[in-house]
This record gives sequence, C-alpha cells and structure tokens, in this order.
Amino acid sequence: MWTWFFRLASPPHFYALAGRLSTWLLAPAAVLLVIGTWGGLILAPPDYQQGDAFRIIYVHVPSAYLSMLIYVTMAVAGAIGLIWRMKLAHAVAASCAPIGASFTFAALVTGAVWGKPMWGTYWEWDPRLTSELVLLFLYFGYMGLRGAFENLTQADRASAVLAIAGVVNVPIIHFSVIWWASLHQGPTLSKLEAPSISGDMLWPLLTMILAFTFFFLGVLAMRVRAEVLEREVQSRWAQDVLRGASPVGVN
Amino acid sequence: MAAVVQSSGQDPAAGDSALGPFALFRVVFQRDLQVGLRRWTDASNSALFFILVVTLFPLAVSPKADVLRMLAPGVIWIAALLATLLSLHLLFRADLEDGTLEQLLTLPYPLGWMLLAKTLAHWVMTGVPVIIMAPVLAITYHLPASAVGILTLSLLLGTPTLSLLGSIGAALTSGLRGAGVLLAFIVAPLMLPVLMLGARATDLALAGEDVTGPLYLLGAFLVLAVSLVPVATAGAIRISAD
Amino acid sequence: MGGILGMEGYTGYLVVAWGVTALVVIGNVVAARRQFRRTQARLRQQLERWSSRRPAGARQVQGAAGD
Repeated sequence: MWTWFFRLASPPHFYALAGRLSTWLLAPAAVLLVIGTWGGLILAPPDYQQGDAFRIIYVHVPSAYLSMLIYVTMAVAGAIGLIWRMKLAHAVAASCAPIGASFTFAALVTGAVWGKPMWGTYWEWDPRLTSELVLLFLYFGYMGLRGAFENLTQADRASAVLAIAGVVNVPIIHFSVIWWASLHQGPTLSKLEAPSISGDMLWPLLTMILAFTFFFLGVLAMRVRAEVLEREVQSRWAQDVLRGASPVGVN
Repeated sequence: MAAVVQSSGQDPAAGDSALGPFALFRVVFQRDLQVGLRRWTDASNSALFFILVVTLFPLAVSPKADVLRMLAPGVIWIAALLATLLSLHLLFRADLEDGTLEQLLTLPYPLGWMLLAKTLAHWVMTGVPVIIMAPVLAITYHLPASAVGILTLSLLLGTPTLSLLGSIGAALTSGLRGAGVLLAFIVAPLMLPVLMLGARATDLALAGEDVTGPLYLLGAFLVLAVSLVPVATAGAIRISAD
Repeated sequence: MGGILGMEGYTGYLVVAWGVTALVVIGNVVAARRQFRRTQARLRQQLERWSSRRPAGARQVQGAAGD
C-alpha cells in the first residue's frame, strides 16, 4: 500500500506525475475560475453596505489565502528537505516562492483597490494589509537568499532554515500587528471583513478559493519539473529526458 | 579558538567533556569579547550610527518639542534596530575567514551554546553602547524621565533579542560576499514584533498608562529567542560552513 | 441584480482588481513555461560541456530509487 508513496519519492516518477498533474489541475482551475467569477460578479447580490465594491472580495481573499498557504507549504517542504534530506522537497519549496510572491502582490493590490471605495484611501496600515506587506518581504528575502548561493544544495538548506524561521514568525507578526493596530484604531480592526455573508454571496467565494488552490497546485507541478531536473542532472533518467530520448514527460 | 577552549580543560577526547557548560560559555564569551574589543572601532560604528540616525530626525522633520516627544519612541527604537542590522556582519565573518568557525564545528561541545556565548559578546559590544546612549538621546527628544526609564528598559529587554534574531541571518549569509543588504532584508521582518512592542511600551509610558503588558511580552520574546534561536543559528552555520 | 456595466461607479475598481488578478494568473503560467524551457536549455548545454570533456560519455550516476 505504501509503494505508491515511495514511488512518489523517486525523482523520475515524481517528474512524470507532475507532468500529468499539471493539466489535470489547471483545467478544472480554469473552469472554476469562470464559474466563480460569474457567480461573484453577476449572480451575487450587491451588499447593502458596500454596494458592488465588495465584489473585490472574490479576488482579494483567495489571493491572500494563497499567499499564506504557499508560504506554509514552502516552509514545510523546506523542513522535510532538511530533516529527511530529500531533494524533491527542496524542489517543491523552490517552486513555491515565485508563485507565492505573485499572489501576495495580487492580494496587496486588490486590497488597496478595495480600500479606495471603502475608506477613501488606497492604503491603510490595517493589520491584514500590513501583514501581507511583511509577507511580501519574507518572500523576497527567501528568493534573495536562494539566489545569493552558488551551490544549489547550500541554497536549498539555507533558504529552508529561513522559511522555517519565517513561518514561526508569521503568526507572531500577525498578532503583533493586530495588537498594534488596536491601539490606534479601536476595536474595529480589519475593514476588509466580509459583510455578514449570505449563502448566495458565499458560494462564489468558496468556488474561487478552490479554483485558486487548483491553480497553485497546477503551476507548482509545472515549476517543480524544472527544479527536479536541475537537482537530478547527474542521473541517467534526467539526462535521457533532457536529450529527449525518454518517454517520461517531454515538454 | 579551539586551542583556547581545549587548553582550558583537559583532553575532551577522553570521552568526557572536560569543560562544564558554564565554563565553556565563559571561555567563548571572554575570548570573543577580547577579540571584539581589540577591534573596538568596528563595534563603535553601530553606536555612532545610532546617534547619527537619531540626530537626523529633528533636522529632517521638526525640532519642536511636542513633535519630537511623539516621535521619540519609534525613532529611537528604529535607530537601535538599524544599528543592530549594521553590526551583524561582524558576528561571524572574522571567524569564518580565519577558520575558527570550522574549528568550532569540530569541538565536542554543543554548537548552539557556544554561538549563544558569541552572540552575547556581540551584544555587549554593539547593543550595550546603544542602551547607554539611548537615555541621553531621549532627553534631547524631550522625553520625560518616566518614559526614558521605560525606553531604556525596553531596549535592555529587546536588543538582545534583536541580536539573537540577527544571528540567524548572519549565520545564513556568512559565506556570501556582499550580502549586507540581503542580511538586513532577511532579518528585519523577524524583528518587527520586538520593534513594535518596544516602541509601544514607551508610548504607553508617555501617556501614563500601564506598561507591564508589552514589557512582559518583550521578556517572553527574549526567553523564547534565547532557547530557540541558537538551534537555528547552529544549523545555519553548519550549512554555510560546508 | 447588478448588471455588468454601471455597477454604481465601482466598475473601474472591479476592472482593476480582476485585471491585476488575471495578469498574475496568466503571468504565473507564462513564467512557469518559460522557466522550464530555460532550465531545459541550460541543463542541455551543461550536458554538452560534460560530454565534450570526457569522450567516454557524460557524467552519470545510476540513480537508485528515491534519494
């Protein structure tokens, strides 16, 4: 029963699986994105407080959720790579970073765009946005540290340590910022709270969250193949793939 | 360094750690302090930078007493954080270059404990001058005495944590050339909670409100950092020294 | 039910928000493809260099299962 798990840990199988998975994940992602967008923009009724502006929730919340999910994934993958010395885990971690950073950026921009109709300004140092900004710095620090090492193994290990230190800090930073904001803004903390959300407003949100999750996994599968090849370039199977001599997932 | 450690105890290869933990700590701490004091100009740079940053704000913003009083907690804390960031490269670079760090790795003593001693020595050289200068500068910012006291206490509790957190970044980047800004970038997000707590504690003191909450939290962070950070730093050193 | 057009003047904001998200989504796919092609090309070049240095063949390690 565990054979499939151990086969997964073998780089060539992982590589082939990732190749097949990316299509199987991106296609449903696209469909769900369309359904969710339709539901969010057209079908959901306007909020009685925020009017139509609340619809930004359908891209802001999934982006923010992904930005955090991806960081945790990156840290866990790094930890697995460090503890069990699995290059595949490091390949996953390395692939996560640019995806996570891009969605953190999206969360910040959509948050700012939501802010303008809501608070009248594009930016508020509110806990959620500020934490997102710090998260962006964490991602850039991670990618910067990776890029600074010439030796790939060192880069993998050092960035894994950094990701773990970061993930421990993320809840601390989040609560610190909430505490700090409460001193200045009073009890109403995040103005990006969803309006008391009714069913026909909720389902598009859940759909979008599911869509974004599938999307992340699909793009991750695309990126991880290159990372695996790079770490396995000295092995026979990888060289066969690179020369196109192997049926294991070409392009 | 290994020679210093080994000559302080009997033969550790005899299977039993000749140096007890406190003796080991003292040896590493004293040696690092001595080495650091010989190059005292390096360490004094961070204190001077601290003074410089604090001086810039009245010039660039406003010298008015009420403005400065409001800015003081944040400005002084930011300056302390920046001074720490600037001094972090001193922590491991010299030892990596002359091979001492690799020797440390081979010693039969817990690496994290020895790194804790190193970081403490580093803090004494770079953090303590900041703590000494801070009350003087706070007075120039028209902070009342009670707030100055809390500010100094918050720095006393907070700057060791900053040095500890910084040591992780310093260890990760110790083998890299020109990694100064990267180091600051990596480590600064980790330092944010300490910064916010320290500045807010002083703010609360300024407003005459209860400061025990933030101060306890700062103490808690210090304890947490002392227990957890050496593990991470030891791991990072092992990775960099490869 | 709000029509697609004229969402009480919030249209601009919604367009920007969805637009940025769409760019990020598409950008991710494009970047992933590009990264794969670039890595593939770079590794192929690396293999060329290895096999040109050792006429016996490129450096290889018979990778056992797993890692």
